[in-house]
Amino acid sequence: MKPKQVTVKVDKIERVKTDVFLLSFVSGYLAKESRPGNFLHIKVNSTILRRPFSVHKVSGNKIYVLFRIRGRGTDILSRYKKGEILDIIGPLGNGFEVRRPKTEDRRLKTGIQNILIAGGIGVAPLMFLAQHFTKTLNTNHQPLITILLGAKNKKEVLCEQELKKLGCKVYVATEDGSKGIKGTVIGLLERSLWTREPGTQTNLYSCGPKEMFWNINQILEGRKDVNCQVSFEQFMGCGLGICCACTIETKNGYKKVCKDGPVFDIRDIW
Amino acid sequence: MMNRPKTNLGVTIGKLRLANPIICASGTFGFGEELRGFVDFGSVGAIATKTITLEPRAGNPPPRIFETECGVINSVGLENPGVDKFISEKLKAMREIDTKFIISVGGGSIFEYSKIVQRLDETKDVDAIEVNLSCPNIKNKKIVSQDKKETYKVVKALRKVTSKTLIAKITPEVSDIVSVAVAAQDAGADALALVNTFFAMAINIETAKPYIGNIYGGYSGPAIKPMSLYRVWRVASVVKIPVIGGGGITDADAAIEFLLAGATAVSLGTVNLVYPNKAKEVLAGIIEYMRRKNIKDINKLRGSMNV
Repeated sequence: MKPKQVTVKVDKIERVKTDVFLLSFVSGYLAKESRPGNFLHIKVNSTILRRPFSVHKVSGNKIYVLFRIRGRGTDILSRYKKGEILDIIGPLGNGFEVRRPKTEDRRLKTGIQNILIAGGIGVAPLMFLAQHFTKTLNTNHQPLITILLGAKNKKEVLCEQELKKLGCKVYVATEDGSKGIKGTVIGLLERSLWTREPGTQTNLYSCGPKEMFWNINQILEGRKDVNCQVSFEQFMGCGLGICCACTIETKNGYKKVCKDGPVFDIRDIW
Repeated sequence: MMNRPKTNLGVTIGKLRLANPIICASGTFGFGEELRGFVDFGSVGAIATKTITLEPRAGNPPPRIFETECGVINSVGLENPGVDKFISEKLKAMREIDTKFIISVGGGSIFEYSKIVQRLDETKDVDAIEVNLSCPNIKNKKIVSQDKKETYKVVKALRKVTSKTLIAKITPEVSDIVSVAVAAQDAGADALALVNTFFAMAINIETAKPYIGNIYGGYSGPAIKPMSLYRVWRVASVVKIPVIGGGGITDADAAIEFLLAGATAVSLGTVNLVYPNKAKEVLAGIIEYMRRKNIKDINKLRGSMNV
């Protein structure tokens, strides 16, 4: 993967929820080179720095970006119109490492469980990952992909139908209990881990608030049979690993979200 | 390009001869090698590296960067691998890039500054040394260039240990920047670089927490351009040594303003984070301006503000 600076024309920006938007544009290069967990560094008008957005999904040569209005940059982007130009550097970042089942697991056709855990808008990069999984693993009668969606309430649950269409098993948790279980994805995760067959290797992939990662990590203590990759965010400068601005604290010192991440092994963090 | 008229873009900074006057500022271009394949180095006169210190530095607690209305606050805190690793690991990769390198150095004392400059003086492939006397992000350390006597002492000590081109990078956060600049010149600096960032902060009113992990940081970007331009003009009008001028340059027009105000070379900083190839566009704009104004030599442009 080699990042490139490209200009694209906005194909569509649609409002998905009150403050969540889905942007799409055509870029053969980005569509071909992007991997789940990669991000795009997008320059919008009237801001100084670029803003990082994960690749939400790829369809043919079309790229989709799902984002929530969080500040000035995302607010401006949400007002872009079809045909307007965006300057993008990408794809960037390390992406999720997709752990393939070991040969003996494949023979047994059991023993591996992939769980995607999305806190709110954290579903953005996980859709692309789910897309990738359903394209590759399920063809081999591999176990279903489970995805846990957390949201404040029923209205804010994102991507549920689409993930179901992909063939994922979707469970929802809402803080007010208006849909799925009342609580957070942590409750759902605990259930998934309790109800699995003994000897199963579990791969967790997550994106969401840092507090959620911390809670996941609490559950994983002493669980060698569960590994977990989490996608972090941080205020970012260059996105290319040169300015050292987007660091986070890890067990091995400060690491750059743009270059060492955005995906980290949760056990390298705590 | 057809019938390209002979235009001289070369400038001289001490013993350093640059093919063009564009310098990518310290901290905004890494060590250059990270950008191979992405940047056209032919348009970059020189790269000022990330500041190197004697020992490795982990840098400041995150978050380290925050964008405000017209500028960017950063507090990276000189994260760097230390001089030994820099020489053994970075220099080799940098050598393959066809541009000049100005090695930015930082220190907590004259001893540290001297040691590191000595190391670099003994190192081939080091074209010039920029003494960072102005980082705003080191806790419990005074900014050397806020004090003209300290500035004189540090530069004087470094002048003794290197014959390489020595550039003093000074802070705009001082009541009389001209006297600091003159002190650096008198102590033997070959050139001055200004400005470094301005102190700044921002607070998230919902959490009541500062947006920067270290509470405050250095402000850069378009917001500071008029202020840095003023300081470059003030200094360049007085000193006899070359001034590398910058602070908030985002395009060729801004770069030309700094040349008109008296800068020998211009530095691109924050803009590199957004457009790593900005030097190419800025250089093209300067050439176009020189043609339009029928200026054959960039050195004729220097300080030619019409007053």
